[in-house]
Amino acid sequence: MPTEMGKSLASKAKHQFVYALIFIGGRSVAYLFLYVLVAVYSVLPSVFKRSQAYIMRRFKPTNKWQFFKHTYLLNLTFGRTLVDRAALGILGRTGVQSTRPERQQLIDWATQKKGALLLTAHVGCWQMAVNLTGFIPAKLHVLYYRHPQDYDKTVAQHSGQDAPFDFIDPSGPLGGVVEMLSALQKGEIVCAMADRVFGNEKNAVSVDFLGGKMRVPFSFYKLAAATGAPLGILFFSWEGKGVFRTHTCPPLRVDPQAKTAADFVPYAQQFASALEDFCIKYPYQFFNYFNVWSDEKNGG
Amino acid sequence: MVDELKNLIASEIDLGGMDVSSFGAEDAIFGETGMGLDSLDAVELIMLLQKKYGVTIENMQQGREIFKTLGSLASYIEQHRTK
Repeated sequence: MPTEMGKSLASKAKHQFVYALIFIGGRSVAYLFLYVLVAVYSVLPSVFKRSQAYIMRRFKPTNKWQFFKHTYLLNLTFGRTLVDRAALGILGRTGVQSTRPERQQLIDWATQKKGALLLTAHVGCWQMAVNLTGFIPAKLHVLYYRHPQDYDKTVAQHSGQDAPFDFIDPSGPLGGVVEMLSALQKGEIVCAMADRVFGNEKNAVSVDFLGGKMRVPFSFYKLAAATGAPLGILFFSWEGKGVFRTHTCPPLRVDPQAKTAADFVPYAQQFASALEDFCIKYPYQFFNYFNVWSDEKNGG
Repeated sequence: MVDELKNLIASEIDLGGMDVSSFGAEDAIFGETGMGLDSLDAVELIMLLQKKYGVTIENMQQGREIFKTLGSLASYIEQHRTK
């Protein structure tokens, strides 16, 4: 596991400053501040290196200016999603664009009482959207690793209200699989990031993603096979000031006989293909600040 | 029960051809020592325990002690089995 995974780029004090801006001036003032802040951050080698792999693959920039422009727009969108998340906690208002069939799909999964695994990725405004899942009539668990130096406050920390979900820590014993399995068997919902390997690399498979091979975990597909829980893929696109849209794919049913890593590749590939479609449609909303293709040089 | 358990694990979970005959009650189930099962094997093991013995393990607060060794798991099964 990369030690930088989940670590905040900015210091705790800078986070507090942005929160104060939102509180005093609202979201728009914080957005204005971001234009400057992101420009400064985007030229720092420690920052642009984190998105370099994605920028090179997605945009294929031919000069430094293009590279900076794409890095800036990516980081600016990310900053806006974080401001929106903070604003939701501090100011308590946001717009939600989610069509009725998409919401109904989530409700249907929950009411079947067979549990459901919802796979998402570090894209769009997932951090805000997961806080707006109160309409789902089942207990929701989010598999989430919080780096000790992640200074972003959650919506619940801002608002002082209970979050509509609880966390399962993947850095805990056995990677949280016991808790996930138990939740699914109770008919509850588990939401997880399926675009990043956390823990043992041998529990990952290679899939095609943006012209290269990406390593993704297959534990979620194994859980779905073991429990018979439907598996949904959903992403949340950031559509503008405080507005997001939910994108869902038809649910997957994993073959209960699937056992080996190779058995799970087709499901992992469906996830990667859906993620690729999202990245093509929303090029500046891939916030997995990690080289997901890094194993290619080793033949991975 | 320890022998039954290790034979069950060996027959149902892919241990890469590992010979389990030398393992005893004090040997670890998970981690790099002992039988070397990992988190994904835990999914299969838990389902197996439910199916064969009717025992459930719901969280790792509970599981940490139960899964410590073959002996601790065998003892838990003997006390809680419904099948």
